[in-house]
Amino acid sequence: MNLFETLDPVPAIIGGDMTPLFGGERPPWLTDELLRALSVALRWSTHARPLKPHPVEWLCELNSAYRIGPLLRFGGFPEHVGRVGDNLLSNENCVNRVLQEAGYVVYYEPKIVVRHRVPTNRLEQSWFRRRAFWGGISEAAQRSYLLERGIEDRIPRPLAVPCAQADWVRVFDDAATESLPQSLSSLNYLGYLLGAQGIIGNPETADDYQ
Amino acid sequence: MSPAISVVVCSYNRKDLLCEAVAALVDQDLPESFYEIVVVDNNSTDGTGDAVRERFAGVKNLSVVFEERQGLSAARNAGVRACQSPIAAFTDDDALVPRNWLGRYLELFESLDPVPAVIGGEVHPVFPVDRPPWLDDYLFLRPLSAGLGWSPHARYLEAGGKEWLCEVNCAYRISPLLEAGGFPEELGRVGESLISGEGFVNVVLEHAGHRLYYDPNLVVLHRIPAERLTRAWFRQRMFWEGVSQSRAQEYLARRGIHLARLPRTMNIPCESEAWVELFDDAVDDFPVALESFLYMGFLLGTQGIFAPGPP
Repeated sequence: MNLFETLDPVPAIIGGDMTPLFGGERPPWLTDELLRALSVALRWSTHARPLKPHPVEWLCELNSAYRIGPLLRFGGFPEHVGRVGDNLLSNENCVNRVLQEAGYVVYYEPKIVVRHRVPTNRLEQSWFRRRAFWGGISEAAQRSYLLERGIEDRIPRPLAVPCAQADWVRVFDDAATESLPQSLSSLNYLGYLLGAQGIIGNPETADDYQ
Repeated sequence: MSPAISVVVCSYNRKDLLCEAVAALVDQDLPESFYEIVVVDNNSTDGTGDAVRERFAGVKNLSVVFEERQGLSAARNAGVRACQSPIAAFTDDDALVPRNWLGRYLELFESLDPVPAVIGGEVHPVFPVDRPPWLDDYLFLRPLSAGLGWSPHARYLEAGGKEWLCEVNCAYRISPLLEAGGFPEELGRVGESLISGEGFVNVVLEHAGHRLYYDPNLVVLHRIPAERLTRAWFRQRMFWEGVSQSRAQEYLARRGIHLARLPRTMNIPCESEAWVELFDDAVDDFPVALESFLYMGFLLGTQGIFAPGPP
């Protein structure tokens, strides 16, 4: 409340950070970098400041506040970007980028902290792999939402591209923790390609009764 | 008198096509009392059930069954439960059968020794536009369910999954089908994408010692919608075929069957630019690219990427 009244220019969105409440023991492979996928511990900076354009830096929906005027003027939260089949993708905050492109500030204040539960099933690598893959599909949907509004979003670049069958086996191997970031990046890129090319998430072409 | 053979046709929101298919089933050269037609309305919202009842009001050997759970396996199982004969033939709502179709199936089941659990025929594609030049015979096999071409004469299929039958033109003895658990409903749906896999029950039947029989003279015409004549459709189809095969692997493993025919090779390129080329209509070797999509779907399916629930 105070921030919206005192900041100049007044931001369209202000968000804080999240402290994780782990439902089980934090596994050793779960690096600080990976925590962001769990909607906790963004840690963009130690001081409050405007964020770089989404998706370079972003806020989490569970700890953010919007000025309703600008939010509604730009169409509110995107209702059709969020769903592919039974998989709910989190794309609500791609409206943030639209607001940023329109000149609004998205502001981060690390002192506004909420605690966020991390369920036990998210402490498994298989969850991160699914998240990375569906996150890629989600990015493809976001990209077309932004393009419709004249905004060219970046195309994800994979850190590594598995090619031999053995490389693919390692992508899914829980013991290969040293290559987990590369594996997640590969899955994210694969999801993006399959989403962008309409292989996944295009219900009109659902295939049955052929 | 109970009918000697039944035919089940399932449909979802395609009443006009369905009525054409049913008209060909009404016009069989068997006497009406020898067979029955079971139409399964798979939870359509376009008035499919009423349209069929109205158009075929005078046809005594026709019934309409409603099945709420969507997916071809669930619909076919509902059709089988409604059958009053020991044999269920299947065709699709976008296919046309010849006049001697059911009679020929009946004759084969009555004369073959050993009697097969499943008999299937051949499928001829009907194109709405010119067949594109890249669409060669090889590409027909799985994605379009047409043109099996196993042999010029009728014979038992080789066991072991190297040969298969098309779901748009086949007939089952109901008792072995039910003993094998019916059509596998758990393969039928991943999110919004309905995947195929009804035919995997044939593998279970073969494993139980039953024979499958192929007769190339039993021909149905199958419409190929224009949107399937794009390379984009084939890529999507092969990807979901891979997902479908990963589900089939689990389904068969639960029954103690380990199949060697499932995808084992891949041709995924090593550069991200080359990945993008996989999706390019102008890719050098399209069949090889399709194998990559099949493998990707299979791999992701096997690794639980499509497990239910939000990630």
